[in-house]
Amino acid sequence: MTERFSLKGQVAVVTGASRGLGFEMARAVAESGARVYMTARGRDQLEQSAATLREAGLDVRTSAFDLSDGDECVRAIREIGEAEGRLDILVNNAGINAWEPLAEAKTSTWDSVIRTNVRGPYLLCREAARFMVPKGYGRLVNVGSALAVTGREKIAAYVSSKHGLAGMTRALAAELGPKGVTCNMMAPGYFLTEINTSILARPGYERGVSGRIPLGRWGDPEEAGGVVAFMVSKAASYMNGHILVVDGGLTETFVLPVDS
Amino acid sequence: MLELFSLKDKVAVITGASRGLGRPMAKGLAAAGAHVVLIARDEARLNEVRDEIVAAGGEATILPIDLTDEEAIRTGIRRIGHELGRVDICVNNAGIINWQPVLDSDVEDFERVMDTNVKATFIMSQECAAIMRAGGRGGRIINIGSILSTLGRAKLHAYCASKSAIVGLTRSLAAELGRENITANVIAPGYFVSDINASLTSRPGYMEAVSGVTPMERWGEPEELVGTLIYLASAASSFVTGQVIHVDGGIEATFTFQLAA
Repeated sequence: MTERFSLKGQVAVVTGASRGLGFEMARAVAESGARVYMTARGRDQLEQSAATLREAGLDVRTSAFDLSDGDECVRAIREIGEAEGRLDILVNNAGINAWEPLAEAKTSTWDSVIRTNVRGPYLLCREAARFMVPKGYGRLVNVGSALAVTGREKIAAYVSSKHGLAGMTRALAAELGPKGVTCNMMAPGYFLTEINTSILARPGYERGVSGRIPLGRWGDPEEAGGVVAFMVSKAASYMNGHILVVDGGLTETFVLPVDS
Repeated sequence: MLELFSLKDKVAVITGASRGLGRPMAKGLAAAGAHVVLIARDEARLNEVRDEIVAAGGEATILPIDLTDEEAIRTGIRRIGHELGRVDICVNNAGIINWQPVLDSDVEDFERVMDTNVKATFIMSQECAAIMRAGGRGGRIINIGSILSTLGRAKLHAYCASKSAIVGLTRSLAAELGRENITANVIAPGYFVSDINASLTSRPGYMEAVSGVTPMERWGEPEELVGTLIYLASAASSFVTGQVIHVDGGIEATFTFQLAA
């Protein structure tokens, strides 16, 4: 590991770290030398995942809380920041999704998606920044989605929440940049994760997506970790307010299933 | 025509006016009241378009030139400015496309595409803007891009580079000419059924494949570009500049695909 990518001596929080992309992000940040607080709602799965990383010799700890509960968000970050005397890195990965055709969409779905995907990350950024600004250094990374930059049918709340998160990312980049704290978005496309089991089970879905991706395949969750490890390191010190899309080329190209 | 969208007493020049999307666009400008200067190589076809416009009660002049001939563009536009006394609207529509796998492609092909699609747009804009500035009445430069102005596509590196370059050129023109009340914008069409992409529409399954990734689930009709063009050419868009307006049934703004049946 060259020095510019090292996170040695730093403290990081990664939300939604029990599974999928969040787990790989936590692993990558820990492998770069940071102490990583893995967070999620369900304690059992979280502890199990943390144990897996500890067995690999990584310095990880856990904090179980519900992202939709504002008080818990604030308390969790304060506890970590005060216990460590610092908080250098926050990776806002956790989020929820809900498929509903517009005609059947419930207001309560809208509220819960926006609450978890935008309000939660906003509170965590705000609280984390309280520890970062006095030190003049910090890395906020919000995990968006390809749907932070493009639209998709039947998930209006999710697409709105991720576009909203992109807006918040740029706003915080503007406000915190002068204080040495950067704020960027990592926007993943389609990855082979547990959370996508239901869509992957739909006949033709996996191929339908792959057929529109220049790399011709879904992402491996491990391919999300390295990107975040870069974004939270010193190597990314002049990147601020950026939406870094990691989607095999999906949103930047036009590919037809009939192309050979 | 509502006053806000009227092009009465305006002079509009449009390249690639003999066929494809340029033909209906030229007629649309004429129907909105503009005197339209039709530019393309093929004089016979230009005469046809002019006759159609005149028969519909409009005004048109033809300027048969090759857009790879810089002198012909400069002389032609200056002559038009002199004869008609003004140029208010410049529509750079002419363009060529060529499919070549990048590893088998040649630089002559790249240069040909860039020259016709970008360099000619630059020269046209420069000459028209000079007349617009001298007239002191502002003006409208409207460049035709593509969904491939913002997206990459295999085997179309030259075309993609040219259409992306048009966006950069347009934004730069917007930045420099704004104070003269000359606006510059891009219309980025998606897939339209027209005589120039018969090679695409005849490929088995191609039309369906494109429709399948388009929220509106169909190709556009050339007439559907006309309204956006008139809007950008009219007083209605007087504070709009440097923009890329997508007219593509939603392709560029969404991720859409159909599950195999």
